[in-house]
Amino acid sequence: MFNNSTTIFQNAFIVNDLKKSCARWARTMGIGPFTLLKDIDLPNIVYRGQPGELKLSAALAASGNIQLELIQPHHDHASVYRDYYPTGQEGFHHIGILTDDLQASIAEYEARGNGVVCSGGDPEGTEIAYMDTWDDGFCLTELIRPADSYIEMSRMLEDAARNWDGKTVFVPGN
Amino acid sequence: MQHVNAVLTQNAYVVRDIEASMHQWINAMGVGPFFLLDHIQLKDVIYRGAPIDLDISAAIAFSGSVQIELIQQFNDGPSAYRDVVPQGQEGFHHMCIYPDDYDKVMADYEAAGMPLAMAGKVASSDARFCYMDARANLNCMMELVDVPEGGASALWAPLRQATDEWDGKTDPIRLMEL
Repeated sequence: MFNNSTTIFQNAFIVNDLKKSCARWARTMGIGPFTLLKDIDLPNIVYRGQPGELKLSAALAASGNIQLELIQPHHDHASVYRDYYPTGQEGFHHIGILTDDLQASIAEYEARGNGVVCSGGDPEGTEIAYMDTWDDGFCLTELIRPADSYIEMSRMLEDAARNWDGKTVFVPGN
Repeated sequence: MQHVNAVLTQNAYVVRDIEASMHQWINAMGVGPFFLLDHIQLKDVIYRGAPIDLDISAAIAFSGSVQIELIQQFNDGPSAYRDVVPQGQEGFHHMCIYPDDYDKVMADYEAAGMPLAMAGKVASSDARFCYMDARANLNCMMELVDVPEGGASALWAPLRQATDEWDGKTDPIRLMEL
């Protein structure tokens, strides 16, 4: 039992065409601007207990307190994305939760029978783990232990949304 | 299209067994307590242009600024829920906004290629709601509710407070009425 501690920080969809999806969310929902993270090859990926590979582009925008993430995987092989959305399919993939102790959070989920599908990190020190909550919650749960750079980026997304002109889909430079 | 500046306030899932799903969300996802609207009394429900009978229950919980909604449809037959999640399956269904001008936003969605899937009213309040089929654009349905955003906040405030005060054990499922 979590003692009511789960606070959703992020909603993430798998999409086929990242830039088109960003434009649709911006036009339809007034969510933006999006920051693009192009052609990421995440290091230190462990997928179902084995060394793995996760290549993707992602786009992030703030909607109130929630971060909207759109992910376009750049691979067809089995992965934490493709296991749920095979190439060509799109849909809601995970909720994201921030934690300051990733191993303790993973242990909580594992104790309830929800294991790690995939874990990894970025070069700045952010560490993530996707927990298999699909059968319970109809989506995965991404645990994120943010490095300072991740918190800084989230702050920039919120500032960009606050100062947005409502039209320009991507932040300058993207 | 109106620039709606949407704040994503709800993640809604269609489930097979709402009782079981509430317990799963409490125990595995760490979200609770749930407020159960048991067999909601609806009226004037129109699906793709034709009146239908719709028997649903919904359960609501809060996770930070996001409301989690679980919906079980009890009757057979088509609906905006079955459009996305066929009978016997479960999954993510919609997000929700409270537009200032409900009719205009509905028309804007239609004009932008996101047709009206289903509309109805809550019987007790006549509050209108509808589901726009935004799957081609947003990978889910979008629910519009004809309640001012401030009204919605007031409606949910006591539930949020009960959530903040929850000890993680007592009365994990609470009946409520609209």
